[in-house]
Amino acid sequence: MSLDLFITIGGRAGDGSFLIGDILARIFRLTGYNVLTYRDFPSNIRGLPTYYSVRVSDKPIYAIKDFIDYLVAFEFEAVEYLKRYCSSSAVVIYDNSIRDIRDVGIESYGIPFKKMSINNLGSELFKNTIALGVLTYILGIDEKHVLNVLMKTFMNREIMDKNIRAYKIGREYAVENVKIRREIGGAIGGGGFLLSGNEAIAIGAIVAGCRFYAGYPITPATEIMELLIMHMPKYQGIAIQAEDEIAAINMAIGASYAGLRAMTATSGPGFSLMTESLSLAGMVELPVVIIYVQRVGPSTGIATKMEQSDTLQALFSGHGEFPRIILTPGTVEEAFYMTAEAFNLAEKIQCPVIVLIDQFIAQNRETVNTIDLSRIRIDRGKLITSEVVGDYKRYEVTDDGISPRAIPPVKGGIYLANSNEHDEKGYTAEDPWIRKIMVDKRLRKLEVARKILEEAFPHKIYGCRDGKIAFIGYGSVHGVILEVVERLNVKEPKAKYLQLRYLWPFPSENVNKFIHNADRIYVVEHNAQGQLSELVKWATGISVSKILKYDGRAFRPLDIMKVVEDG
Amino acid sequence: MVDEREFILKNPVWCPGCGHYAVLTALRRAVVRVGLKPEEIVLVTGIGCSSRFTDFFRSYGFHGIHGRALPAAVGIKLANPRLKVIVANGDGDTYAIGMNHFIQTARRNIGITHIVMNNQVYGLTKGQYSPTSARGFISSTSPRGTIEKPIDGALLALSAGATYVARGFSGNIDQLTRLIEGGLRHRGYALIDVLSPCVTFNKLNTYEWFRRNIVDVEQINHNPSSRLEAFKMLLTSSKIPVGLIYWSEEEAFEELIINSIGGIPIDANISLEENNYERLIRDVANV
Repeated sequence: MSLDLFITIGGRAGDGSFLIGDILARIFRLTGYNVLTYRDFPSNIRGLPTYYSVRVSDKPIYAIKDFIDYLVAFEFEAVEYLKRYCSSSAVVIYDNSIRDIRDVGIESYGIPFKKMSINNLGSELFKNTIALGVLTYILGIDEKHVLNVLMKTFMNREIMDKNIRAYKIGREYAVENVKIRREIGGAIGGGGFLLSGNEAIAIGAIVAGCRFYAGYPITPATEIMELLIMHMPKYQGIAIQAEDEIAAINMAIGASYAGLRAMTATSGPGFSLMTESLSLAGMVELPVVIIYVQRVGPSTGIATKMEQSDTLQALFSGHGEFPRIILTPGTVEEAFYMTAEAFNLAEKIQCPVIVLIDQFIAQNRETVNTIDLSRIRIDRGKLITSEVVGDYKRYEVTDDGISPRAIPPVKGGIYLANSNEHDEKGYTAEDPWIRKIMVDKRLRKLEVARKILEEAFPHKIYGCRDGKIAFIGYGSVHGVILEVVERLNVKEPKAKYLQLRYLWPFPSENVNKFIHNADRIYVVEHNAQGQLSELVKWATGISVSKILKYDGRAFRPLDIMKVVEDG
Repeated sequence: MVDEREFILKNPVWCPGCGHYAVLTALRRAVVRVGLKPEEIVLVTGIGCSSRFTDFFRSYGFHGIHGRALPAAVGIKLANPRLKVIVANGDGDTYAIGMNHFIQTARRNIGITHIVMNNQVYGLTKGQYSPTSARGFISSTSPRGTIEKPIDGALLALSAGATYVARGFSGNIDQLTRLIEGGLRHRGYALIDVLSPCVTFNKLNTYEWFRRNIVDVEQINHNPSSRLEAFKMLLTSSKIPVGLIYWSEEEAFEELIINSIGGIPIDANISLEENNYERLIRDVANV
């Protein structure tokens, strides 16, 4: 029997929805299922509505489901708001400490979580864990798995004990009052990890040999900095909090100049500040990796929600013309490998590399079955670390545009990394012929990048290869398009999907080939103007249909199905 | 024996009489006195007339963008603290667009020798007022005279917790050389704010004007090891104090970090065979 459940826990920030959502996800992971978490939360610490969803399945999943199967709610408003998203066979468990809700319309249980917590444990703090006891009972999860995760979650002995008591109170209540559904059988495996994109990126950076990080706190990228400040020192690296994003990227470029693999991470507002320095890295030809976690814009927008409205900013921001590489992982696992490879690309091409994701991949956790370190290679490109004999030219004009890069204090390697247009040694030059030669040299590197990328991250085609309905997308729409294509192909094979795994250099040829025979071409993206759609049109001359969502929430497969079925 | 010629890349080109010539000479002399080799130095500059230093001074160089010389220098210094990192830029780069980084680098006490050529005007863009221009200074962007109070970089550095605060004058190369040398030998961040006249766009703060309006603190029994005395000197002196204003020995930022991570980042072995990443993965994945 296949399993695919979507469970949402709703309340106000401070109710502890996240905590039990996270525990639930870990329990599912422990029993060997595939998991995806989905956070819908405000940019606020306490008081505003917050929803945490967990999807659990025996198949790989990278998107949210159409409808909620189980809803745990700590307040009426959550039930009122979320019941429209519940399936007709859903179960709702809600806190009725204040009052019952009549006419929920689906199977529901009012349980006084808050009262039970206060009466038994002296505080309402444990209502979430009591609810966890009820929910895990209904789902039929073995007690030992729950206890296992609870014991790993709480470091403080007293708090752990209280939570275990709370869990048991919930479970005992459920045994007496609630109908069990026993959805989850015994463990079906195990192993693997539950990681968010930000976590995978932090690991990927360290494993790739990144030993310098500078950043500035910004949602939804902050966890990357927190993790690196925690773990990088163990590998003799420095991760620091800079005074702003401009300082952060300049510190990273400085560390790169001195020979370290260096990185920064930010979101839209911070990236906007970094763009002048992006152009600097392009001009001085220094490698730097930038993790760009998009969120809702413009301006401050909605800091905690997903959007892909900076697609064009990532591709085209920064004054002047210089090569850059934009990698676009569609899953947490890809975020790991692409971050690791970003450092090789940055050093081989000697240019900025942007790993472009959004809040969905960054902050939601997914099952990552293996992290295969044997797939990681370190290639530092044309780096010189020992004495240079003869006349050294840092910006020597070469066939592929890439020149040997010395680092201080290498003897004979003295050069100037110069933001001014410069000659082969780096010294300021304004002569027209030098100017032209240097522009061409730098841009030639992009063609080398294209070749490396085609091999390292070929764009993937899913579904029916000669399908007439074609989808194109990148990043966080990956999972949902996969599900849509699967649904469309159930009766007869007719749909295919091209996952773009890098956006720059833009893969015009791949896109052209892919859409060549299609009758309908849909570009699916999280923004209002169809930025990727316009890029596709620019690159191929062919107009596409845009499927857009820009309310800060993830696509459900249903949202896309509706458009396709109507079209 | 390394001599000054080792540090000559090419002859500088500024306006005849520009104060920056003297600063370049003083820097070359100071690095020789300290015994540095060109490869061991990274000279970092920003944007402006003063920041053309990297085209004239022979060493590793990084000519970045306007206002951001300090953070680039911080990255270089932290990556490899064995390098001698020198920042040479101007009053616009440091006290206007780069003010945040100036304060932050000073308070962190990162081992950077920072030479600010302060000519109280924007020269490269042809004569706009700067944050250090005197009140009433007339320029193309202050035709009716500035109504802003000028910034005192030395006072700001002192307030921010800088551990070496000096002010030099292009008209006194010997003293300037000593001040830069002191900065190069200093543990942590050293500010040398240099009164360096712009002969083209600042007709007010000329060599003559400075000679009349500065006081050498070394001549008046100033105690540079007292922060309070230093504040008093900067706040109450009727003339502009020149010389070593404040100095104290404290641990540098990079020393504290290197101690905590057990080595210098550039020495880290990044090969996959040499590192145990299994533990990292388990820690982050919380399993």
